[in-house]
Amino acid sequence: MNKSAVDIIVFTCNWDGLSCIEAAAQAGLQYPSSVKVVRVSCLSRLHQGLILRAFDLGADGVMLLGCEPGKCQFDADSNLVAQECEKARKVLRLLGIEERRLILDLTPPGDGRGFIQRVTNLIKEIEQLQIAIPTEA
Amino acid sequence: MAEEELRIGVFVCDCGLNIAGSVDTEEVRRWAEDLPDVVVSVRNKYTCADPGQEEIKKYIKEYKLNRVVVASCTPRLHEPTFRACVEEVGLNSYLLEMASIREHCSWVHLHEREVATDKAKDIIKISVARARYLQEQHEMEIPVTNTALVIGGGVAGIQAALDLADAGHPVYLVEEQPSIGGIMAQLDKTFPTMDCSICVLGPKMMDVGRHPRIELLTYSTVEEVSGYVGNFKVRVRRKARYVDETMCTACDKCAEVCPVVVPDEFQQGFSSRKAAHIPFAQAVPSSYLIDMDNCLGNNPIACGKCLEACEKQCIDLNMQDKIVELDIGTIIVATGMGIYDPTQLDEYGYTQFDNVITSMEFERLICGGGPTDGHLVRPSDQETPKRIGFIQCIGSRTENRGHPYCSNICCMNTVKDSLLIKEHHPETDIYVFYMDIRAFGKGFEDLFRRSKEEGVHYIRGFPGEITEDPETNNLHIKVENTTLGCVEDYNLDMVILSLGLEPKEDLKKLTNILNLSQTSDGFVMESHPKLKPVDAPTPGIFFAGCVEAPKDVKDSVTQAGAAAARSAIVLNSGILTMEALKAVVDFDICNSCGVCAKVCPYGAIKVDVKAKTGAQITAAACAGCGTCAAECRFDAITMQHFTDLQILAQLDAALESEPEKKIISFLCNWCSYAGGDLAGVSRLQYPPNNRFIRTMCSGRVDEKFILHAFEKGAPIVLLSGCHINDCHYIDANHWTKRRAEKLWKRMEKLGIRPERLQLEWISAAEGPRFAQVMRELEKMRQQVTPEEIEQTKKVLAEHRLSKKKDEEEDESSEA
Amino acid sequence: MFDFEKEINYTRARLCLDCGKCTIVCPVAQHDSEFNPRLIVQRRLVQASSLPDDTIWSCLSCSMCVERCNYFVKFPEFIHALRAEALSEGAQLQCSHGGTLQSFMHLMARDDIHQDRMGWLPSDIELSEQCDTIFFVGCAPYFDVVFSDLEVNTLDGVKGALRLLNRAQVPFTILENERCCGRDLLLQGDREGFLALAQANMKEFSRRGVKKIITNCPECYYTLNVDYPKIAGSTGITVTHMTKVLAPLLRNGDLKLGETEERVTYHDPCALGRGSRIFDEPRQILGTIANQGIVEMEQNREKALCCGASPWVHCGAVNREIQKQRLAQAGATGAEILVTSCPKCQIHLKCAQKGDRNVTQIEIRDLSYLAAQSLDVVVAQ
Repeated sequence: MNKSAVDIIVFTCNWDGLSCIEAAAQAGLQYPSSVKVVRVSCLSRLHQGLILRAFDLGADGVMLLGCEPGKCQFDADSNLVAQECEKARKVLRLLGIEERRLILDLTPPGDGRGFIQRVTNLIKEIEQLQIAIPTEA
Repeated sequence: MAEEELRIGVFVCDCGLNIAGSVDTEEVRRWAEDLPDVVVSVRNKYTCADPGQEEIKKYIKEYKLNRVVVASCTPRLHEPTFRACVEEVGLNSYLLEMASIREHCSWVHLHEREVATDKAKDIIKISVARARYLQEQHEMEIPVTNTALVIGGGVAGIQAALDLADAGHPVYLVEEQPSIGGIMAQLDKTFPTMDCSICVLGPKMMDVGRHPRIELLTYSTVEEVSGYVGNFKVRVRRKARYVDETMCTACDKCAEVCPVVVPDEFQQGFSSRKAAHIPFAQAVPSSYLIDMDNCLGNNPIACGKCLEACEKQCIDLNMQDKIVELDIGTIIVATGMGIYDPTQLDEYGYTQFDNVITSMEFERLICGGGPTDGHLVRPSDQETPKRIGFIQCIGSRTENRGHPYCSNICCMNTVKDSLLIKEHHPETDIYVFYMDIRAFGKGFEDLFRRSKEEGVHYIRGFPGEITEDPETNNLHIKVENTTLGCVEDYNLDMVILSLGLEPKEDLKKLTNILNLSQTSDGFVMESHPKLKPVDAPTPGIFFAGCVEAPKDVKDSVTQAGAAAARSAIVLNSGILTMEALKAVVDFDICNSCGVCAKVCPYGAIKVDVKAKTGAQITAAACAGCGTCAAECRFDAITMQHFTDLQILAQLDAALESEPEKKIISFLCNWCSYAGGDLAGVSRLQYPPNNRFIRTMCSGRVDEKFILHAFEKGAPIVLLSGCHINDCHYIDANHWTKRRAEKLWKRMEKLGIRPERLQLEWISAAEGPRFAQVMRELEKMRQQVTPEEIEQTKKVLAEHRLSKKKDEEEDESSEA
Repeated sequence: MFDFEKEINYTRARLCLDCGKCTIVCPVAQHDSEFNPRLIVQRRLVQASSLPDDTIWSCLSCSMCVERCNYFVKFPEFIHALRAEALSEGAQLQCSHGGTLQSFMHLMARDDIHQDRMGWLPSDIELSEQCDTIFFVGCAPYFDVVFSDLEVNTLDGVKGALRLLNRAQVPFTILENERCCGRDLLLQGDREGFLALAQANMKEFSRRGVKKIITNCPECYYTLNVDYPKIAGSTGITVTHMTKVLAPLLRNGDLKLGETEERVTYHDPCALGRGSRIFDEPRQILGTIANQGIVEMEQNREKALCCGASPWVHCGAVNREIQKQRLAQAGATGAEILVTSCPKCQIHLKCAQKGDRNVTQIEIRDLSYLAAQSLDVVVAQ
């Protein structure tokens, strides 16, 4: 399998987000093993702390994969995750870490190809940033 | 002094097999014959026994010996024996020298006969070297003034004064208050017997007042003390009391008319008195006085009512303080203690809440002679409290606002107080908040048990805070009951803070006047905490009562008796003989720099640095530590019997052959040398390479001795004395420490490893540690290379030549 | 191996008299009968090896116990050691706020991180570039992002402080890559994390030749002043708190502040009050501003109640109770503004206000901010 030096954490919701990843798998679409998927029931579960924790633990990029606005299984307001994502971005900005490393991807169900494309883009973009997030001193 | 021909006799002792078992004494004897100036060398089975002593006397006469070296046990054991022995045949006792080949040789090298024999030879050689420089000394005799001064008229001072006076000695009793009686006069009852305090004290106070040999100076303070044991000069200020105490009949007329009303200190401020007043009913002398701070003044227009009222006309508002000068033989300090002020413990609200009172205030509230005639009421509403709490350890056992020590009396005082309350009002609920109840004295546990049987609740835990209900003035206490581990609440009517004791506020002033030291807790320091507990380190001064440490009435009285007896020993003697270990100044060399006066722990040296009249040493006050001689950089001070010449000769002898194998140890007589003795008695084995030089105090060890030893090739030098704060000469070993620290720096500068000079505090009880130190020194010795020794010798020889220059630099840098 | 013996000696824990005064004054113990400082010490002293003691996470490090302890047993530091020990044995922290604060603190410690530390700086603030005095900003820029829901503006205090310094012509500069002082990591037992931050900061101090540090945050002040020298020995740097700078300026007339009509009360932050014995200066400053004087809360100065702040771990119902208790004390004074000088106090008290509309909704303001606001009054006059 092709291996990337870029570690990505994908937080995915259990519904439309996960369906994309499953669709990709069923279609035999490949993505690097350095992409790790963490499943949550809904992206509203996410908190800025968890997102930052991923970076703290060494992730180079974080993708939040969930249902499109209005499509949430729990009727949760997708603004919740947007707000947390925005706060995390602001903290990243203060830390001097590129905000592009964190993306919020609200997707229609079953879009395996789209998922692969976006996660690959994220990896490429981070690779282009060249300056990897420095590892712990 | 004409040079006399030296004729030294050496007496080697077998000590049965104690020495002869490990040392070939005959070989040693024979060898000693060849030492310089030795005219005879004798071996004896038991030198200290009568036949042995007879033999010494015989040889002194026969060979006209003028120096005697006894090679046997430690001088700490038999030096007095042999001194007396040589005196009997007319040889000055200071011409005797002892070589300790038992404690420091045969016993610590039990199984190495050859090694021990060689070491014994070396020890004798060192002793002979010293003996050659010994001088006759004459002990000083000083007359003793047969009069004692007791400072402080509490129960301890009263008892000490009575005991001495009854034993026939004239006594001055100085008390700063207008009446004697002290704190005990303010107490209601005393534990553990629960007898009335003033009822037992009152008669003693009266005895003092009428004793033909006691002169009572109340309302007086000691302002200045000079002189020394047997011959103190004391200046006392007798404050004006404005009433002639010899005429006053205590008729109370002056107080009746006096218009000034102030709080009564004796009643802890619970009632009032006039400016013209008597301190309390049983006061001795039974005389009124006028409190001039509050008196309206000596102005007939302003007041002057008392002058008119006094039929005997004993009031004189123009009275002045008087100074009296006393000649005193011994001084007993019995100035008592202070009582902790709980104001700063704001969590207990002493200043905010009326019903939080102190244990001293309680004494007056429960006392029949108190402001309430003994009816226990609480201050806020004069009602009898039904629920009372005691909080223990107020100001004691803490580093946070208070004192770290246990105040000794407060537990039993509270136990007593609880029973007093139960006596008056058995239905009262009493809670004692404590950490530990210390009931260690005779009858104490019984009293504690009675208190518990009466239903007093003892709750282990200190309250965190007291709050007050502003309506009822009741108090609310929160405490963790630590035996149960849970927080409890108590609603109480009154809380009594069980106050700790502390050194008197102005004790420092007195210790300065008397040149005494204070221990870390602030009380006065004894000469020895176990064996001389009532002696001050300064001869002729003794302690009684709480000035030494917190204690109860019984202990104060016991100690007063002891101080009186110790004092009487001096007063009875008429003449005191003092060991001739004294420092002597050579005025030709002394330039009055004042260093000796600064380091003397006894204040025995006075130097007028401006007049440059030379250091004046009061021989009678000199205790012979030799610190001054070591610190004097001009060598203007000779420490008799421990002179530079003697010590340098010892070093030369010790390091004459194979210096690289020797360790020079300077040991103080009282602790480290004794520690070495104990190692010997305990047969603790250690390497044989050390050579001991005994000085009375480590403070005597001049830096030049140490450098001399290094220059002569010693690989390692040990400097050892009593532990800091245990010094036999008050604090002379602080100077030892300072000197070592300076020397380390200097050694470093000279390129000599500072570790080659070791400083160890070894007490007389630390035999095992002594042996351990010896072993460690030997390990260190092995690390010192011959090259290093040679280099040091070279550097020091050069250094000695340029020393003068160094000293000048030192002087300017210190200035 | 964790050397607990050293910790016991350092904290003087063996001197504990077992008297229980700490239990009475401890704000946590008042609300949580399981929490007993005395027993925490005793349990650890008698047990040869540590057993998990869950109560250790509740301590606020407010030092109320030390204030009353007969032997000054350093209980908060004992707790920090217990926490460090527990962490070394695998205990899991229960981080508040999803661990946000821990995460950004750890990220900040990284070697070649380049923070955006100046973005918030108002354009009218003058920095003296080559100055060897720095103003240590602290985590306020981060707090204001993380706690934006609470509408705390802890940067207001910082900006206020800077305006005051400018006005008084006290020169200073700000480090472009200042790190968190690390106090909260130290308190929660994360010694490695603390050390990484402290070393990064100290490296920067010495690179810049810093001689003097001014802080507005009491926690930074305490850490830089007390904890840093413990690691590095004497740093040779003078650390001073804003109130210590301001009070003499006012006394000498080198700075004039305006007045406010509002009644104020002052909340002593633990690190500034009990920790650093700075009780008077904040009151002197406040005294010149508040023309109605300061109304003190029931518990003030040495006895001031903690805001209930934890080092961002194990925050729970007890913390909330303490916060409410403190706010109730503030409310009882009748004051309109509760003034404090600590961003963490502001965050925690506001959190309590937001969480329960029934608690006193007294306004909470930073002392330096209040003082800076009063400058406008002076200008207006």
